[in-house]
Amino acid sequence: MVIEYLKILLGIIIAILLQYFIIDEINLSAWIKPFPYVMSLLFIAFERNKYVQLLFAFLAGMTMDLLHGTYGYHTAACVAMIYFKTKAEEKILNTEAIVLQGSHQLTINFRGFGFYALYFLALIAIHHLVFFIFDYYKWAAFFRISFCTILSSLATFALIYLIKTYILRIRA
Amino acid sequence: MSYLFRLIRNNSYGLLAFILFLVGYWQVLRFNNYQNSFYFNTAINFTNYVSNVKFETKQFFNLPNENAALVQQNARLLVLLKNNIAKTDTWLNAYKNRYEVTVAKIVSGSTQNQNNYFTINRGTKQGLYIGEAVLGPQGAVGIIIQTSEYFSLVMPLINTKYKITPEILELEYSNGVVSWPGRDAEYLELTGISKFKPLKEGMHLVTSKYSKAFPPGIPIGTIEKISSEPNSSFYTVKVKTAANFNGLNNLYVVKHTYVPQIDTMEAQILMEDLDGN
Repeated sequence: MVIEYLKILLGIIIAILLQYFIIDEINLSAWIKPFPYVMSLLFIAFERNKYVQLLFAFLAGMTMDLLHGTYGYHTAACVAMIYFKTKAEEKILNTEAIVLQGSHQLTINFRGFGFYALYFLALIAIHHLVFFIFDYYKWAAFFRISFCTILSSLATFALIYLIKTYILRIRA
Repeated sequence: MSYLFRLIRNNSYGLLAFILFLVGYWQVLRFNNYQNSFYFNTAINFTNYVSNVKFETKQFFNLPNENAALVQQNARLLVLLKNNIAKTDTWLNAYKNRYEVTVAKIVSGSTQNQNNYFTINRGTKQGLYIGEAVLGPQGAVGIIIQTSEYFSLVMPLINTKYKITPEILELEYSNGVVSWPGRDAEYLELTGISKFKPLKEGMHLVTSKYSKAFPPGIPIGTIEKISSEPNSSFYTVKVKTAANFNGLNNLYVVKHTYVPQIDTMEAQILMEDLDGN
């Protein structure tokens, strides 16, 4: 069990380092800021303790904040995302059926690509929305926050899908 | 209590998530200058808005009292106007117009302390100077003791340091000192009136015609109770204030336009007296 959690921790560290050294160096646009490091939190297996998932999210967010000087943005965003992830696993997903299919995460096989994309896009959007709200932090930036959230969420999802399918070669 | 613990235990996950989110939010406000100042500016604006709404609501419900006070003041002014019209002497007319009035509002103030002060929203930019009289709709309020560009500080009658010589309207007699003992904002004290004077309860105290700051005849209060020490030859009089200090809002600052001339002349005579000695 401890080994499993250490693996998750290692995954989080690698994802944060990749985000910091590679993804952050790619300047796509002022509107698009992808954060694919969230995949290390999103793909934590269903069976893992939800309290531990929350603490990992908190630590991952805080590490990102320390590296980027965005104190609190990622911490709050990751905590919010993981809270909704665990709630969605309880209320929306039939986790037992997925486990019976031999997987420990949501896969395309469960309900097709549409559901898969919508599920992860929604969770990523929660993270990005909290992040951009704190980043802009003014009422007048409502439309800018919305645009950034939508475009960045799409970019993050695309990057996660590409990394999973072509780099890690894991069937999504 | 056990219900509370059960509630916390059942919702411990949500609670932990909320606490961790709050820690993140606290970091945002604590370590980011822009977010910090935006948060506090918004909070201050909100507080100001709420207190403004409260103040305006209070003012609205106080309108009948304000209105009654203004009606009384109007009636008094009409009587004064009727008695003061001089048709022939133009100089006298000019002298009768020696007072200029500036309308002001109380911004802040106190009535609970020993030495109370009011701040009004008019200052030197509106031509106000130290020493000018301040009136309320019902009567005398105090005197300006400090001015800035847009604000002035008023020392009201309900300040233990303030003293004024009144005129007893019914006796046409100017003497004694009205001061505030520092207890109730509705009562002043008149001292220094000789026991030989036929003083009665219900008599009115007004500003004296010898006052440079106050126009004559402005109500100060009404005699409520007269008492005397056996060994003293003076009365101690309890006076009910004309102005309601707890409900003041609009004030009038009165400028006596001839005061500089009078001051110069008095200073000249004083200097001559000193030289003679």
